Amino acid sequence: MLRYISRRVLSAVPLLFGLLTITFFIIRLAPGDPVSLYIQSDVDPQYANNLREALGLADPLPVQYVKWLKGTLTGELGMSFSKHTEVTRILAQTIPNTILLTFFALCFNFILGIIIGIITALKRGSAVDHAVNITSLFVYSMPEFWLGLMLILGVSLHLGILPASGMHAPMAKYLSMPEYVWDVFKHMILPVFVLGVASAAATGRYMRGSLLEVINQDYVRTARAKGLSEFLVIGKHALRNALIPIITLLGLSLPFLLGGAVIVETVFSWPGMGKLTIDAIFSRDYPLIIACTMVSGVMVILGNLVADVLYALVDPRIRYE
Amino acid sequence: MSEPSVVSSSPLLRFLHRNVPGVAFLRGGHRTFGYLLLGYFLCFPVIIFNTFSEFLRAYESMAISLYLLAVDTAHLVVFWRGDIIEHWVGALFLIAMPVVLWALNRRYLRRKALEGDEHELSQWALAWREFKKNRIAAAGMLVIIALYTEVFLCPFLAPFHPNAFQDGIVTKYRAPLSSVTVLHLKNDRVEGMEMSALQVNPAHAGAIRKLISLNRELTDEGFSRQQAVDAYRIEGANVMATVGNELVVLPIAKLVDSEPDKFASERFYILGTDSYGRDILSRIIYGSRVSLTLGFIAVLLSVTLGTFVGLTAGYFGRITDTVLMRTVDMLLAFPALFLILIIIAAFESVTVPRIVLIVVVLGLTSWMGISRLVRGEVLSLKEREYVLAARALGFTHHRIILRHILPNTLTPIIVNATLRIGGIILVEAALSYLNIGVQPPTASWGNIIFEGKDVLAQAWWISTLPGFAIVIVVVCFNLVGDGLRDAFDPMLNNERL
Repeated sequence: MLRYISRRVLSAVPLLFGLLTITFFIIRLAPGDPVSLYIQSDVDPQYANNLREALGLADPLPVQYVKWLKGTLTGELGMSFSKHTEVTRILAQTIPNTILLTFFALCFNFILGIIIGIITALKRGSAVDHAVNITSLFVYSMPEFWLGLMLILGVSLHLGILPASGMHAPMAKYLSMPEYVWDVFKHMILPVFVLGVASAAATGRYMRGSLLEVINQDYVRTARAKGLSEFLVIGKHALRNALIPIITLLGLSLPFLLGGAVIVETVFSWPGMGKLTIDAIFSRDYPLIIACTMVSGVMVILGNLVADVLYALVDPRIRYE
Repeated sequence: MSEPSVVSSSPLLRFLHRNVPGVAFLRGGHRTFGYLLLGYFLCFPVIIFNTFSEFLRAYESMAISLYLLAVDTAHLVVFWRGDIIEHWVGALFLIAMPVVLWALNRRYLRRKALEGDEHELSQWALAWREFKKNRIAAAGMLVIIALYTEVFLCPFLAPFHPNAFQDGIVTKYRAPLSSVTVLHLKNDRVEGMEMSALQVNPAHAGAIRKLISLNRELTDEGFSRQQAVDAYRIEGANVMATVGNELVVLPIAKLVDSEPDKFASERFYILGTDSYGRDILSRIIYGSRVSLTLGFIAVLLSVTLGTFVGLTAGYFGRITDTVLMRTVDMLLAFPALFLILIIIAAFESVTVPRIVLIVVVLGLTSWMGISRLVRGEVLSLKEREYVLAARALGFTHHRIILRHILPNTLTPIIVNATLRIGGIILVEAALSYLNIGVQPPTASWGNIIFEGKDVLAQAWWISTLPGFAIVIVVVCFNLVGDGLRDAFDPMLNNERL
């Protein structure tokens, strides 16, 4: 097991390395003076020259690349010039919010998806199956931002049940601990729903196929033949094996969730990494954009790593392949 | 499905059978497909009939422009404007498409008569037969064809020009199904550019003047000479109109006519208006052009790139394969939206129109899936006997790839591409919604929703309605993609249970 994990971790290293390289080259391939990426245009040309020296932009490209890599790996991501603080500090504040959002969205996605998958697999060909399939088709054909706006319109503006945006009520600082958690939870319901529901449709489809495959296997027939109740057959024998391939979806859905978070955070003004990136684009805050892109990629790679390790834990056959 | 004999039927029916696409299918038993095709074909005469004056004006404008072009190229470029050319294209399309349909129908009938029903079917014909059986997918396909038709016919279908805005007092935030009274003012002023064209070519002044007035009517430029009012009354030689809180006095001499039912008319907004008083329906219709063509071109780009990379990696293997596929892995590690955002941010300063930048970026960030798919196919194809034979015969790599391998990877590529267009349309809409995609005033579904988001409580229709358009299109593409997959691979039907 340990050997498998260490081998898997090692194979993620070149991927991370490639990720950083690609980011570097996208920025360097961009036309124009690279210094202009780090300063605003109205700055004194003398200062620009000093900066060019300081940033090492006068060096040949390979030297620049190595220096940049070293800086990035040691966590020096530069200064954000729209917020006038270190990029690392800003990220430290926003990444937890994004993780909170995506984690709950992931949970919601899997819970809803698995339920949908079980229902449609057991009621295959029935009216319920068709109704759920059509609904899923519409849900994953729906733009996330539009679904978000429609929920804001219906749930927040018309019914006034849930807050429309942000993460805290205005006076959240003075709330007691349980009240504070409840407040954040209320703010989180709509964004988590929007972020999770589209992937839940996909998870449901996958789960349906996986369960149908398992149901037709010999050991399930054996379980039925020895007179177990249908509930036990499905719940104890079929479901556990049908769930295994779903773990792969964990890794696969992460890029979509993080990409979706950009949109959902913007729609709901959730103070996370996605909204930060969009704000950074409008203020041309390049160090921040670069850092966010890198971090999102790193999160995806780590997520895939976790999914693979989980898979190996659950299904020992994987380790020996 | 044997065809009822054509000979025994009445002459009228025989005529319809031969000349109206769809009738032959209806009589042959393909009911759904027949009705859909017939309906589509009949749309064209209906549209021509409904917009007949505009249709004629477009041809007139085209004829005069071509005539003037023959006379003098240099100074008449003023008249070759995008929105006028749109009308020409639309008018030509209205004639060309039915003719093409008619010709295709004739060819189909002729072939059928020659070969009968029992001829051998190619893979494509088989798939098409399967696809036609899937009614929902066929309907989705027809909606998509109708929408792409609409892309050409925007000027004839949209009630107003998408950017024709008014005072922003009377017409703004009108709810769906509401109407506004407008007064028509005289508009015979000649603008600067048009003036110089007139002065250089005094000999053709008549034709030029005619063209100016034609073009103005075509593009609703008369809008600038229309006054939307809350109410009006006639007092002597003046019309007193209330516009918001103001009272406007207009001499009747400045109006197009002295009769109230000639100088005043009702303007009807089916889907309401936005904050500038622009008609939402017209904006959605024009927005479809951006969203649909953008999605299509981006997918074309990504499929081309993905196929190229996949073929190269799969066929040549070894180091080429490793390098290309590792690159694909790395690119896939980025959440797609972040990759798009960083490229847009980095290349923002490039002086290309924003739409082009978006298409290229969308194409460049979505080819990885296709390249994996193609590579997988190629890996299995290149071990097949016929490829080995082609190699043994000493064919060039070039020829083996293009003639023997590529054609056999086409079906999964087509299915994948169809399913992908929906996704790309969603991403484009999202970018426009984030205000980094298609820039206003060009309408796109995403940016109409963006413009309405801050007045959600006040004017819900601005953000809500374009969303339905997006959902319908993406649903149709997904249906067609699923249908194609089933049609090309009947085995899958059994596997899917």
